Amino acid sequence: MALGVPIAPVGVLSLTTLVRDCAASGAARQVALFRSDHLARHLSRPHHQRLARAALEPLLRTDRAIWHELPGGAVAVSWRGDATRQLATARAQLRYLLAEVTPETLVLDDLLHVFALPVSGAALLRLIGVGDGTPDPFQGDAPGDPSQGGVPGGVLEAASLAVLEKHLATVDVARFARRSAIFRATGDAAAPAWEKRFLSVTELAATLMPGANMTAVPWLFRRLTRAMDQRVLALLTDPAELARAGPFSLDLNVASILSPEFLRFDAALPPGLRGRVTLNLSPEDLAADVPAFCFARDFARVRCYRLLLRAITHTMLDLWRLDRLAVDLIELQWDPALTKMRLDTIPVGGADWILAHADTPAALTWGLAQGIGLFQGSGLSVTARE
Amino acid sequence: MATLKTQRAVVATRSYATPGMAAAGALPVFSARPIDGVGAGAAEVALLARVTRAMAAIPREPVGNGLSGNGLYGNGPLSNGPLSNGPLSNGPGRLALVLHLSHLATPRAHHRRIARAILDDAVQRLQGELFALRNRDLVLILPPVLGVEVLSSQLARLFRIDQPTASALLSAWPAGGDEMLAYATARLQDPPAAERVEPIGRPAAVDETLALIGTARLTDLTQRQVGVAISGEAGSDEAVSGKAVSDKAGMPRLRPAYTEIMVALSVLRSRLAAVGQAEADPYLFRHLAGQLDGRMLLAVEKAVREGGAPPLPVHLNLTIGGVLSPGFERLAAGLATAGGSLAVELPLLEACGDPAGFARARDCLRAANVALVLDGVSHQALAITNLASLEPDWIKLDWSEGMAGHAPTLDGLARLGVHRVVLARVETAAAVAWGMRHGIPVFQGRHIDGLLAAARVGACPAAAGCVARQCQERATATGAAGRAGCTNPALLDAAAP
Repeated sequence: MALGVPIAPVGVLSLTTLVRDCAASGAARQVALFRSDHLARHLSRPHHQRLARAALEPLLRTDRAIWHELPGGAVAVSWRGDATRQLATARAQLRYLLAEVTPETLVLDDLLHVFALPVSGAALLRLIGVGDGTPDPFQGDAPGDPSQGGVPGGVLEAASLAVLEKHLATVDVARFARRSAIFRATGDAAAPAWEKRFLSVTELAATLMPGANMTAVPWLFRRLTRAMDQRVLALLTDPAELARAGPFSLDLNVASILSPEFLRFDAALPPGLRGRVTLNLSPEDLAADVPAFCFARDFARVRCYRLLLRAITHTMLDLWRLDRLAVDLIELQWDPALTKMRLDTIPVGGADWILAHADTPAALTWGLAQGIGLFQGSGLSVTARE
Repeated sequence: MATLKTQRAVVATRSYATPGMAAAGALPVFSARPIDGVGAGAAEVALLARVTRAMAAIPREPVGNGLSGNGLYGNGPLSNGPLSNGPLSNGPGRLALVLHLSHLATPRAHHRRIARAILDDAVQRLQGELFALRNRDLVLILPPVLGVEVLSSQLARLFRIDQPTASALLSAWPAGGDEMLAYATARLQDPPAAERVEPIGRPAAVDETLALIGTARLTDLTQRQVGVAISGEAGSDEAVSGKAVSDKAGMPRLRPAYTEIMVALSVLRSRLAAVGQAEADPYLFRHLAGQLDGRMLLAVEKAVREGGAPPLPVHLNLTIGGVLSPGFERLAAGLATAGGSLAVELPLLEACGDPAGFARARDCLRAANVALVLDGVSHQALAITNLASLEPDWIKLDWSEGMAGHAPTLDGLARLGVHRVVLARVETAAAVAWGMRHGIPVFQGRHIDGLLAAARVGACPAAAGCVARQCQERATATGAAGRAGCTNPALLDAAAP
């Protein structure tokens, strides 16, 4: 089933607006366009994409930097002023990533293009498919008309959200259900501790919004996750689904824990799993409604669920008073910048750390040295299988 | 699944609910033995009947009085009453646990849903009877068994943020006692509670909101509000009553500090009432705010270009993307040239959702010499965050009655330094008094609007026929249409005489 998603790619929109603004006002900007959609197949797995995007992050430390998500997985960063040093860093990191690729098949210049605005605005727009007779990405199908099919290359747009939520309510989500392991590691041994159960956003998008990027508009995607929560909870309410299940965790919104769907899931939870299910909450969801978070947290405790604060980056460690949140686990996302930090100086009120995206030996080594016992990442998956 | 069906069947025999509760999104409701009463719902009538039966079965032994003292829930044998037929009997010493959800200042749908789930569970575990009343209260009548204290403390803990005073939320009375009889009798007079609308599950709200954002005039979607610095003796009557605007020597004084331009929630609420409170969905609202950024920046820049800098510094609500756009660059430059001053308000939610983007926006504002105001900070958020790490110039703390005597709030203020706090959503004199007592220098809210309007009407030479309420509404308008009837717009712009 493909939805008629009105295509209004926000990244294209913001980039086009920038080009037009610069043309009108004469304001100068630089734009680096990274065609991750041109990456070789064996380099296009999620963690490759993540590393490639991480390589562009130095550019975000420039003046007026804006990140533009583009159709097909491409991305652009715009900034003002000189960024020679940051651009060199980004190129060096991308070269490292591409080391496995033979120069004959791919060169960095095929992947990374730099434009100076306003002069090169037209060339940039042509490359992203705007103007010069190419289809205008601002013109899409009428909202709410599933029969017309999705338009490849779009991102989730607010007008299509209602249609998407409606279709999500009826589609069979069981085929999108996925699991990934959280590992308990001690020295050179790693064993699965529990599974994280989730819906594959990529595959869901491929079905409901072919070729589109659902996560490119963060606030709309966050709203959509509430509808996804309802479907996951409904799926897990099926007695067959959890009959032989071990401990697991779920990403949920605070509002979802307080929903009728969660109460039905809770009522159907096999007694043997009570106390072995972890609910993962995001920090922005906490900030959106702190009283509701406190209420949901205390209700979850009454029902013997463990709570995890997920996706904490090193830049967020100063913001949150982790010891005041009264959660059981804190998921820290690996970043090389962490090597300059010590976790034992951060009060966490007895919570355990999990190191996420621990894809490299460096991450694992640092985590173990900090006393972290729980890890998530492709590196650990390999270790555990071996 | 079998477990679920069994549980529902049990609930069906022991729960009494006002019709309509299921439609409000609660658990499935099975109204057993519906009893009609004139002007009252079945649950209220059933409760009174149950209390009357309990009174008829008053034990010969004295019964404990609620949750305090010794012998907590009576000491009579469980099946000593006239209907010794199991847990639903009128056994002596039965306790009524009343959860007064009607006492909550800001009741939310999940309060009753979750409390109901916990009490339904207790119905089975403790062999009780549950009455879901029209005023949203929940009443559990149960035998004197262990576990009631645990239940009470669970409920008190659950609601401690929304209702810090547990005694106002929970009552434990003998089921056949005078208090319970008076309570059950009074419930017969309650009108039905209004159904609360939840934004979730109403995707139509998205379309409606987008259509409104896309087609409405900007002046219809935005409003102005003035923030004031209050100086003078903390908590003095003059400071909070409106006399403070006067120039009497030694009196506290309200000095307009800035004009904020913001999305008018009231407009969204009134225009979208039919499809739900779209603005109550914070994520959708952030996205919609981003859609308005460009138009807002253009409109303010145009106003500055054509009319010069406004008399008060401008506070603009933007998103991170708006701050990083060339439109902001143009406005900041234009306003600086015109001699005006600008601050940008970014919500805490954006800082938490995109910390890297927030840091870039902050650097951009700093380079443009524009102040950063961290908006949308509740006192609960203040207690669990270290907002100083975001390096804002000002922090807007939303007033709530729960702040009074709330130690973590005072601790948070002390860590932050009150000198850079704006007390927002000030709707009562008590809020101003609390803020002044704790050294907060700047205030914003409807109460302040009222004080300023009263002062304008008192001093304006063209105020004949004007009333303060009218003047207050005109001052919030961002377009000429909203100011129609005022012949002294310069005073509206200046906010105070």
